[in-house]
Amino acid sequence: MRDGQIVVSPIGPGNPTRVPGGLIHHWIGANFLPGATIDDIIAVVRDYVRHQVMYRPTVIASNAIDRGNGEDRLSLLCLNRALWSRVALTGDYQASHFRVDAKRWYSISETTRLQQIDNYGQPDERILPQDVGTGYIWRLQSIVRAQRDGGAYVEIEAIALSRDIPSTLRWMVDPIIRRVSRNAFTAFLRGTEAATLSEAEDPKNAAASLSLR
Amino acid sequence: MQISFTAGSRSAPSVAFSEELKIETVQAWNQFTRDVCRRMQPHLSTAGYFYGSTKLPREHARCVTGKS
Repeated sequence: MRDGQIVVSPIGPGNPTRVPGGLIHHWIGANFLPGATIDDIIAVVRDYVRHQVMYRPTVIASNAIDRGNGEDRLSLLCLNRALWSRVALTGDYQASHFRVDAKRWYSISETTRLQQIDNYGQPDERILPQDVGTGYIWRLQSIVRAQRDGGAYVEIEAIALSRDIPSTLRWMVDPIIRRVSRNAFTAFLRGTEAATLSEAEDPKNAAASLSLR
Repeated sequence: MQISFTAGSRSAPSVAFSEELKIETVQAWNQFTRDVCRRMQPHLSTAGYFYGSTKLPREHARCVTGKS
């Protein structure tokens, strides 16, 4: 990882885990950011307005609803171009941040609302009620950890609940899910890396973004 | 359950389904995520939620015990 390699892997055997009526996907990814500090990473992760730039093209709109002392609420509009080109997900998230010590920090975020938008960007676009739709993602929880060690390690663990896939279709869908998961992790870590290194070089980058709020 | 198929792109075939999330699925999800939060902090005390010698933040305790 210290050479710039990103590591992404499913967690545990039999991933995704079958539960009644659904599948739970559990993945982890990590990379190393030379020269970065914990404060650089916190500034980037909590700069929710900038997420729409950092994590494009998946995240196409982002906003901070409320930034509290250790607990934030944010909204994201995500478009999955890999599976359903006209389906978007709009959601609210709650993120809690914990500083363990000077060298370690982590956050836990989870969806508090997630709604599917059919035919996104089309004249017949419509938003579905919560918990109704394709079930591409019903729920999402992520844990971001950062540890300083001559630079900083960033690790993200994500858990997603999706609809079940009929066994007759799994041969076709499973490789797509794995590819999408791996690509999403790599894009997240690359986006975080680019923004953090930019932050480390010139904190004004983040300051300019913060002024948008 | 309504199942329909739509034409996919060259790189990724797409399959569209529509259904409603079931309560037992949500329960399984809540249990799974609670277990992950619990495993994340092996020093947790069920009585007080301790991380080492530091009391865990309220938000992490909620992650372990269930959704608010």
